[in-house]
Amino acid sequence: MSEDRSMSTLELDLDAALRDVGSHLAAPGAAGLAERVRARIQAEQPRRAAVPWWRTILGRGRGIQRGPDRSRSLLLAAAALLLLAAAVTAAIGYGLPGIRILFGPPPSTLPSPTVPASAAPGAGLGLGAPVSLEDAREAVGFEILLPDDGRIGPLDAVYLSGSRLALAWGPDPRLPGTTREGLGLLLVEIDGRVEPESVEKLIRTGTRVEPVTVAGSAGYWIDGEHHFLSYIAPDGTRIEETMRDVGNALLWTRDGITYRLEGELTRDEAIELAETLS
Amino acid sequence: MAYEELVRRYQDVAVRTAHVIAPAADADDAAQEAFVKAWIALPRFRAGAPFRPWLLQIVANEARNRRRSAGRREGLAIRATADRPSDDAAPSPETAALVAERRAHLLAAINRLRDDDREIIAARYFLELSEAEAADVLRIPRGTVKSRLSRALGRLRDHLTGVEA
Repeated sequence: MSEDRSMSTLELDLDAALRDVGSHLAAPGAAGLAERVRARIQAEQPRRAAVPWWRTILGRGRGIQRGPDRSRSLLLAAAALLLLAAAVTAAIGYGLPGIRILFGPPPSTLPSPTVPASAAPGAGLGLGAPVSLEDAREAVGFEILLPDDGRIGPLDAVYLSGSRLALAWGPDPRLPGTTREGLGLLLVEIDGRVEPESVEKLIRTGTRVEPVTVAGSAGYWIDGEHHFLSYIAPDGTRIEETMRDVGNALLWTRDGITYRLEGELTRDEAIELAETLS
Repeated sequence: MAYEELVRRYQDVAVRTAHVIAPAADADDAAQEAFVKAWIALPRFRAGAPFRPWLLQIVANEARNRRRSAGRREGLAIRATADRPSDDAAPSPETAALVAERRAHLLAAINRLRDDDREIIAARYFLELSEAEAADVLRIPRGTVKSRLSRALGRLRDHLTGVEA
């Protein structure tokens, strides 16, 4: 069997060769993982008890409407039961969930050491007045676009300040998050165009600004420090704002509306997400 | 504990996924953290959506975070020959050596690929994820899995035949 022949076999049957490699890969084992996860979850429970009420309502409410799969619904029901048991056992100081089922106060009344149950994502960042998405739709003169990505859950909070709209999502383990606790992703939509001079100023102050294209529209990828940007509204007014430093930012303008996506995404991840806006 | 059943069901694929994305990092630790985060995020999980890709997205994210901090680049490896599957029907030592060499040669070429090429090949051939799962886990649009895989395989062929892309 010559070297040549083994090479041509590879060429002809790369598919099979790759599967063969896959079945011979050294892979770390998962021994004891379930036990360690259980221990971690038990340790997390006092903190876990405080699922913010808005998260529970939004997440589960949406789920119930879409639940055609009975086995998964059962799975979720079991998980929900577990959450309730966890909240209750944590509240009364027992260790293990799932053994007894007690009826206690709803999770929203339990204290949280990290995020107060009332603090919606983005609260306290000076984003404007919290409004409902419906009210925001009536208030702004443009169509509000939302990302269409399986990883982005239901919108958690909407803020309105003049012609600037801010859409906030809570942390999601599938997303890199932001530098602010309790905030997973921020999307700002402004009725106006970026003032090119303010971008030049950014570059002069040492912020990394890279020109990018988002679905055919020109934009910038802004990486790093605090930024200050100004926008020109359709009526010619100047809107100045300091960005909130929640992570990197992707800035682009489409049909006269400027969008800014902020979080700890990489440039390519941000562009891919931005391109799903509809 | 119902969740523990889920952990047991998916722990192997979770650890292997983490390992494929960040071979240098601690895959077991990434998987463990992902299971804890998934548990915390269960209220956000959409009923009716498949659990496995959702979990693997979380695992992949944890592994990527670890890859960023691990810094060094370490490749995937072939496991020790001692646990070779029994269906190898006792090949001659020469054949066994050749097969092993060919395998190592192919894996070395895979390890030389860029991260995204290596990941798409690993997702489809090593983790045996569906196209939709691979798209979710690797954070790429579903429509581009096929084209990315074919480009990655093209570059792998180039490496194997000594042509640098």
